[in-house]
Amino acid sequence: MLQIEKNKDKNRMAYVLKGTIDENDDLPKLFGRPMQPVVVDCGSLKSINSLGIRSWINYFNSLPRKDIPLSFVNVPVFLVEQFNMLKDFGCGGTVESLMIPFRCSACGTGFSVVRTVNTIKKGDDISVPPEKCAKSGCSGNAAFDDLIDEFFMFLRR
Amino acid sequence: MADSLLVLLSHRDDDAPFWRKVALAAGGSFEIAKNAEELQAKTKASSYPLIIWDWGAPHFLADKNWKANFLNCGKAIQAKFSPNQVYVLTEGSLNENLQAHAEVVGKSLRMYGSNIVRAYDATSEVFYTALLKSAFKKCPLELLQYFPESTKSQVITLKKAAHREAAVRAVESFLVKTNLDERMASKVSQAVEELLMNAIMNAYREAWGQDPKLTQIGYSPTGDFDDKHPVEIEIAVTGQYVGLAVRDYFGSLNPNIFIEHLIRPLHSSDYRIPKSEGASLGFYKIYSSGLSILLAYQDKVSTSAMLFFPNLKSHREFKSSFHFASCVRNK
Repeated sequence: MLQIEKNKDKNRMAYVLKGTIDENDDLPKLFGRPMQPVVVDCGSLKSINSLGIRSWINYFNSLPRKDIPLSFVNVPVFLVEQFNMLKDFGCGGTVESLMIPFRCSACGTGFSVVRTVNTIKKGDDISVPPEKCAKSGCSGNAAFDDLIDEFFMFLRR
Repeated sequence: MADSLLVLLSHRDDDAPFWRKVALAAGGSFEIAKNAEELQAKTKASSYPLIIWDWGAPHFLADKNWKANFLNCGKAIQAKFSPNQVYVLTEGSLNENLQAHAEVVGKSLRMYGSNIVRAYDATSEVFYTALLKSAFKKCPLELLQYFPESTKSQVITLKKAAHREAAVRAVESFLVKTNLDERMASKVSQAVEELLMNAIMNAYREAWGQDPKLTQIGYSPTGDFDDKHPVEIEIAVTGQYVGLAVRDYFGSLNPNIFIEHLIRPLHSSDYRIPKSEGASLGFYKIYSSGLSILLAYQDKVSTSAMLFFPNLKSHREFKSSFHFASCVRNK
């Protein structure tokens, strides 16, 4: 079940999504009709099924894009896969920041770190520097745990 | 004694050693055919069911007489074997594979070939061996036949549509307890949800449409299922790979819809929302996620939608490991 918190963020309306999106969620009712730029915070979203994707595309495509710019922040790893899978998933919006998966070479712990697109994409080049392991007590280095060309495919469109 | 023959039509050096090992481990024998004439000769000489890899090998299709050769091979195979004795594996798309298979083996197929991505490692060797061993079994619907004999499975039975979400969470929780990475467990549980939606909401409709018998048996896609039509989830885990099956007892799968929906270039072309209630994205979503999918079905009896993936921590390694899609029919 999807829950949405609405916050005013400077000149934009921020929608913080929590939970899951499926066929039972009425997105037009939950979001309403925004009249200003929209930023969608996806950081607490847990899953979206195919019927949720259908609702998502239906709703965000219904917004007048010229008047209401759309951006997505804190996009979790599973949602990045939807952006890659479907060209239309972004509905003309922009991903500003996303969660990037890492895995520690010392202890094997997997974790994700939020990065803005600007910090990983310079022109056509995309690179992900290693991180320190997020597990307390481990001083290992963690490398990006996916394939660059596949994970960031949506940024190359 | 060998009970199947794997004929390799390959253009790559890494194919022969890998498929020789797989064929022998699966209890079969192994031959290489360098061209269509050799394939015909080996077909005529064989008394075993055939497995052919890679039907779409470029050098086979590059021959200027490939169409005639292709059909001659088909005649030789059809003269010798029934359709359920030939299994074609290819790296090409399922659609092309299906067409090629139908032309050569005939349309009355028990088996459709597989779309297999080359990723030759120890796990893919073990798994593809299990896949080949199962290719000629009478009933390809059972999950455990794709695993070593001692493997045990867990089964979750759903008797109400309302159990779907709890079942998906149970699968995720079970996988995490088996030490699977959380990202992978989440990915798999989302794939299971897609398969459950198919089993609960689509299978009965494809079987009976709006047939009034539906209300007589007491099946409701939003409420209780009747005793003869539960939906089951089965999970099996080994150190090398993991498999899950979502099974319904309608047996209404249309392989053409599966194939049509599975491989679409929606990452680069427009997605048009279908007029029907569904999204037509389930199979595509699963296959795009990197999971392997095997749909096995018997008309009006059962459909088992199975997922397989290597039991790895690293997602990067998972993406580079074995990956296939296949659709098999039991008659």
